[in-house]
Amino acid sequence: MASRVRLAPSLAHGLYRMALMLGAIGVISMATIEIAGPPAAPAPGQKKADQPYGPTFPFGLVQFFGQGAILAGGVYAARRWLKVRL
Amino acid sequence: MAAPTSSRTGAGAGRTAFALWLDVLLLLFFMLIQSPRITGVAAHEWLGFAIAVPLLVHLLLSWHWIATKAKWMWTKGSPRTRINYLINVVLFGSMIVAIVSGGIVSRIAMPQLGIATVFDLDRFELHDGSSNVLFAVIVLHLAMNWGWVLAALRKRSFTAEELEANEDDEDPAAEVSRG
Repeated sequence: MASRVRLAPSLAHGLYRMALMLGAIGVISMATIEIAGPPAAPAPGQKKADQPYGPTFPFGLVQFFGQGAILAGGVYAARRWLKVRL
Repeated sequence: MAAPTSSRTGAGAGRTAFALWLDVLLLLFFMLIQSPRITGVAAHEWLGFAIAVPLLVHLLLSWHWIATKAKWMWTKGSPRTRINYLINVVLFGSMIVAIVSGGIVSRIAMPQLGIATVFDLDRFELHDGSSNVLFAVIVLHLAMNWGWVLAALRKRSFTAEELEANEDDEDPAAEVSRG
């Protein structure tokens, strides 16, 4: 039988925690917008930024599994050689 | 024989399973977002915003660890606890910066919501840089919590005794399984 998973002891607790998280998100968001600054006029060379976004499925699969391989390799290296573990 | 702890009960195991599947979902979301050649720009942007929902649920599930460690880690916490906390703070921060900067340079999702955006390379580099930091920190987060992942995959919850036996096992996900 499936058991219910409670995200917080009560609705009030849940809302309070959500408010705290949204507050932190708001502070980081404002800082990010401030750092980003006003937009510059788009330059012709900026089309280069679009290149990685062309939907080409075979290359997409390579990208997806490539990310996975880098992630897995990174985790393995971090645990094996850098001793990153609890 | 010791009495079974609450984390060995169905509720604890159910919570652990839920946390595990949520984390798998988060990882898949992240990898898809990092693979825009599969998704295209529109799905990349919408998935980037949508990941905020499982992220908030993940944080709510880990709230006990977040709150308790924040209270005493600077006085009683081990260096490892502090580093782990720092990794989680950087993870949260870089995730938010990546989502917000993604919104700033959005060309499809935000305009569809009626918010005009201007794409420029400087802003895009902020998005790209924060995504790279996020990727590196996710590697560290996964490495730190790999023991919990393996334990959860074996359908086994941590008991309170196991956590107390090793004070350094201050794993946010392990706290989740304590119910």
